Amino acid sequence: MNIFLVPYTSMRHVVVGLYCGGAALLAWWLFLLWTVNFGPWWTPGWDGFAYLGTVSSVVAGASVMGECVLRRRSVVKRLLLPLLAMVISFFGSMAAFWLWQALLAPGLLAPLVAFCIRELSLFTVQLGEDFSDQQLELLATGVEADVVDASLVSLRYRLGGFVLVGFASAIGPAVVRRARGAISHLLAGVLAGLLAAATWYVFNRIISSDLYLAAALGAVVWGTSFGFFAWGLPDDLYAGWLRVLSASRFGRRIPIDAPDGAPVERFVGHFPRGLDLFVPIDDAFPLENQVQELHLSLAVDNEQRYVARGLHLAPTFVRRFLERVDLRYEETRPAPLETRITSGDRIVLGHGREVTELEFLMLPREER
Amino acid sequence: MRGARFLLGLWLASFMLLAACTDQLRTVQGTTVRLEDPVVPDGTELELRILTKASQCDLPEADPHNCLPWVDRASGEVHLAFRLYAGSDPWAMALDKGSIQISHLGALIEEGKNKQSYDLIPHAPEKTDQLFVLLIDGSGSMNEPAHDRPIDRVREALLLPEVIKAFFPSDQNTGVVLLEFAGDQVRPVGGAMKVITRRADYRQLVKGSLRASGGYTHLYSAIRYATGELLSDEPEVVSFMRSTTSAPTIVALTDGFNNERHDDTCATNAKRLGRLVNHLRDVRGPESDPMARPRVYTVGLGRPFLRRFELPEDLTSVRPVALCGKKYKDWRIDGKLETLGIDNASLAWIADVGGGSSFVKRKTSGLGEAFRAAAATQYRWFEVRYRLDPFHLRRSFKATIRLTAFAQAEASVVIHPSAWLDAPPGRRAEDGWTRPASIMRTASLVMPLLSLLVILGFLPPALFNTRRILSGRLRQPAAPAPPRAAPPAQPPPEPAAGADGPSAG
Repeated sequence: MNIFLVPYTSMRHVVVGLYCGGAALLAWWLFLLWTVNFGPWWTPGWDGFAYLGTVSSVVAGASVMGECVLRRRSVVKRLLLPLLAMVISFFGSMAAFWLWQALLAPGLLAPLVAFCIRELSLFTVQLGEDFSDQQLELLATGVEADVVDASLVSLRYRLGGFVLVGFASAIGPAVVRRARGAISHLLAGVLAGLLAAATWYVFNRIISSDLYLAAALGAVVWGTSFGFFAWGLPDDLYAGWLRVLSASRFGRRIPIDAPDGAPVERFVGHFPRGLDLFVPIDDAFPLENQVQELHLSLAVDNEQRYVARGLHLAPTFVRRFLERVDLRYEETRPAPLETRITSGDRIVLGHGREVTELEFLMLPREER
Repeated sequence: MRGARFLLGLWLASFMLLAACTDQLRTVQGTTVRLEDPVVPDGTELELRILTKASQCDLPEADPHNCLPWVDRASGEVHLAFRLYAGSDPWAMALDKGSIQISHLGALIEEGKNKQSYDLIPHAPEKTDQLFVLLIDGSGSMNEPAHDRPIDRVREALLLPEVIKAFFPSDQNTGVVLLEFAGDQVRPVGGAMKVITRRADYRQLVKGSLRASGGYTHLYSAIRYATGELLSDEPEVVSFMRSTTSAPTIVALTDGFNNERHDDTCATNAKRLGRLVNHLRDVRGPESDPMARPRVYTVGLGRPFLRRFELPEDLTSVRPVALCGKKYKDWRIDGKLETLGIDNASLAWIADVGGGSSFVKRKTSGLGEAFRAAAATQYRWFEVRYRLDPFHLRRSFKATIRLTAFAQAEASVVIHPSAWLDAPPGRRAEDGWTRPASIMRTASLVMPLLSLLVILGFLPPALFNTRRILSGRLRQPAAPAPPRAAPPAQPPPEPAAGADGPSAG
């Protein structure tokens, strides 16, 4: 993860998902290598927790680690914060998994199924309308036999484990991020668990009949969806820049940013002193066609919203896809016209052959 | 207080983790399955030991891939290996696919049913001393017709190099007793009772002395003698058997029916066969010494008289209808039934009760095959592979192996596959069965997937830069016109500026 490799486009949020997906894949791989080489020392009933807990805690740690790396946190924080998230998610997953197992306890589920059939007439499609007590007893016995078999491959009895562990896996990152976006984290965890369960099922029942691809791709989907939904790349990692596109002074650029994140305004024109971005004029062309002394300003407020303000009567346009905003100063108005600008917008100063073109870009704040 | 709570939570979590430890189930390296200890029911004659520990695989031709249990859910295959023990001694045997039954979760695996199949692969041929008793029909029919006498075909088959090699392997001490039965007598070929231990003697005796003396065919009595008195009372044979470590093999060859009188019918034979069956059950029963328990192979020379004959489930009582069919039960054998073919029903019955196999062959090469099968190599351990619908491997299951020939033996093992993940599926080999894949095969899944994720991670900057290049934002445009007047004013110093065009990465 490197902020310089994550441009400010809508795809920037996907990158964290891919990073977490990769981490989940490696977690599955290491877990499988451990299992087949050294053998699980736990009982079969713990298999589910061992797999889900490993994937969920690694994904939680990867999400926090990704943020630490992007924010260039100190090495100590890069190690400790993900570790803390992993530990919290690991034990949270353990509690969640066993909560689900307790709900599946033999004495609990079968009577519940029997109650639903008898009193609420649910699950009776296969029994028919005139089911006997013996059929009901057989069904309850079958349910109990399924419930106690820790080796049973069944989405029906495993889905809750995926969802609850997904929920618990979000607790670690949410705690480390001091509950910022806690709801989105928890929802992302549940969604990740659901998508992983769906992938796991499709690959072990419909596409194949073994759990090799199912477990691997389930982990990848879990990591990718959690990384994508839980924590998107925030705008404060980027800063706006203004860059000259015209031939004269091509490539010159200035940041619209203050190091402390305070509001700031930058001015563009050809006034020889005191401007933030100097753009020269050409004597060969009429003056009214060219960049004026104090032509345009770009400002950012403390919520990182960028605006462009036209400061002169000369032509001043902001161009973007299927849109052109005229920012020319109107004498009748008490304040200059302004418009919100976003990364990739072009600003055209002057008209005719002698125009000066600028672009607005969001680049990593570290570019400064 | 908070510290105490934290410690309490940590203790509880550690306790739960420790509670997960188990030593009751066995793991198998290279797989995600666990095994319970195999269970052998009480009262079996031999102990069928399913191999579940790496330490048990210290056998020739054994490696963990073919010796330890393996479950492949992708192909629906289960592989198990077993070894037979008589008491505490390993017991080598010549088993084939028909000698075993396999059950999965209590249901019998049947070849071809619901895409099921199974196979038995023997490993590690055992060099054991063996006694073969060849019981050749010497009745008059073995000399007819004169231009193609069956006895000549038998002689040729017995002298085939591969048959001689099977009876006298170069590295084992085996003995052959050559007997001819004709009328109510069983005589040693050559006149004197002798255990032949050298190939040259065997060749000489078969070439020079094997002939059909003529008379009725007392097949049942001959087998009764060969599995009884011969083994217990003939000093030469008894002496040789003391020096061997495996059970004697009786090979009975005939070209017709058991026929003791001219008015014998097929139904008459039912009672006689019943008596022979009782005798065989006695000499091969649980009380008998497995080391001395005879194994009976039967070879029919000719074509079967009941082509569609199937052995009944209960072999203890022989009913005429079961043996001969409704149509033939009252037909006379002499001159009538024997012209239709040979009594394949009796031969199959005797072989099944006798723990061997039955063959019906017409040509010399076929006879040779049958003799070789009877003298089959014994093996120290066996691999059992079976295939069924993978759906039946989606929960814990009990696999049972049962011996159906020679002796009673059975064992079961409960296998717990993981409900969450599997090792890489095996690869289909030339024989149609899968072999375990190396765990390093996982790299072939992980590396492409990781590469894909990395490539997708580089995609946003690549697309971003490409878009900027295509839209011309990274190329300096040409100046609209050359300057005519004085050069423009110099720019003031700027707060922050870079000379290069920005681009991601």
